[in-house]
Amino acid sequence: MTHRIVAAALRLVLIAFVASAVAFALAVRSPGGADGAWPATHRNFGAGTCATCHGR
Amino acid sequence: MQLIVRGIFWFGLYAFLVTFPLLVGALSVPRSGSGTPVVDLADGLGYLALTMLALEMALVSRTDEATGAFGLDALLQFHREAGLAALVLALAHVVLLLSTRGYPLAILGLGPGVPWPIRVGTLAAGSTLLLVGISIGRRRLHLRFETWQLLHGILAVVIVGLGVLHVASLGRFAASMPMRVVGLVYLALFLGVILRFRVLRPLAMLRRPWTVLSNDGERGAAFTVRLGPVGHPGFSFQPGQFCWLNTGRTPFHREQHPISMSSSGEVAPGGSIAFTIRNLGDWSGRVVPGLRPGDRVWVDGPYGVFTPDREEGPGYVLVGGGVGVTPLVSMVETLADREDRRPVVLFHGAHVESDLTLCERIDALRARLDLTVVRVLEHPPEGWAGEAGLIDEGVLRRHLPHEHRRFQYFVCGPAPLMDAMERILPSLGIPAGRIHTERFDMV
Repeated sequence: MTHRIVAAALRLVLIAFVASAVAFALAVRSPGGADGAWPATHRNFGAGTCATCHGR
Repeated sequence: MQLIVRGIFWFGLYAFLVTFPLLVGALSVPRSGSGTPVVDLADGLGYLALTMLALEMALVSRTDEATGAFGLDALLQFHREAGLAALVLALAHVVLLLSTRGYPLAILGLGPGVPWPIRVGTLAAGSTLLLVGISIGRRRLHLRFETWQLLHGILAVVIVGLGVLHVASLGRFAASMPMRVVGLVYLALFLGVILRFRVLRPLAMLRRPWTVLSNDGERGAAFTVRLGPVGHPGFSFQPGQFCWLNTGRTPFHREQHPISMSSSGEVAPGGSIAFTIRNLGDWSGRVVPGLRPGDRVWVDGPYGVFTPDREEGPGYVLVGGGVGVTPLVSMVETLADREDRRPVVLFHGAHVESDLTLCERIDALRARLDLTVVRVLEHPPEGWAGEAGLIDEGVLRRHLPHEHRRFQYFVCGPAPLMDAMERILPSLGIPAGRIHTERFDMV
């Protein structure tokens, strides 16, 4: 039975984790980005590097 | 009741530790702009994955308090499933970022054009995938346990190292001072767990060596290795518990194996303990048969909550398959040593008669205990007087005592037996709280 209890407990904990990630996303709004400027979702890697990842 | 409180405490602590960085991130990074919440969700999932992976080692570092609440087998199961969940979260982090911001798949490449913090993250996710892959498919890949154990340890450190580098060099959250402090504390916690597990614990074991007293062949391609303490009093244990055995030159040797004691838990100071180990072709077949009296062995334990000492009842039903009978034999021997008068019914299943490990020892205990033994052979010989087939509902119904619903049940064996018992016993009216299981292939 321990096997099932542990699996059930982990499922509960995971639901709580995903809920906390959603709450986190709602609490932390990424600044910028609306007008095409660099969105501060990560640090700036320097001139010319945007296109490498974002194609523009 | 106290165990439940301790269980809730440790689950609560785990959940708190995993989500705390998100809380600090949410409070310490200013809210502004329209933003991209899906990217933030991806970041949140990434943080969860990294924290869960960093805590994976703590789960199996054999902390006395946590193992006492859950049992190491339950923690190992949690470790396995949490690792899988962390991989899913890490992959969700990648997929969400790729799908919502128009990142080309090329960003997952490791070429020089991709910023190195992203390459490091990709390597961390790839290493996690590799670690989970070799863990799930170890047998299919014909990977030796020892090789897997080494790879597992190295990959775990690499993943957390790369993950920390990825976050520290990439994230806007790592730019905030509170998040840096949290990151450093978690890193210190991770390194502390490694130090305790890989250095301090082996050092303590170095002062408590054990020596082989005897090594005898048993039915079922098994060996019973009896160990005696050297220069220390040894320990008594609760029957059904297990230890990690290390046959390396020092306790710092990486290779160690969880093995149940098969002897009585009532051990006088300086007394010996025995382990019955089946030859599975790895360490158990390569090293164990060659152990000779006088050889040095390192013992870490005892661990486990699969024991009648924690579960009082008017009687016990023990169900063992193959070498899974060994912790049950320890229970029976201990009850006999304690002159316990309560009835015990032992169901012992095996493929053929020669696989009935420890059956002579079990028979000898019948004189000292109210013990009923039911042997079930999948392929019985001519004239077999016991049960034939598998331990199923019919076998249980034929041999369970009238008052069986109030007994405590202990089941140990291969996965099919465990799955069958977890299905059948409740259908016979046994409350779930009285069914205790231990999967001996837990690692």
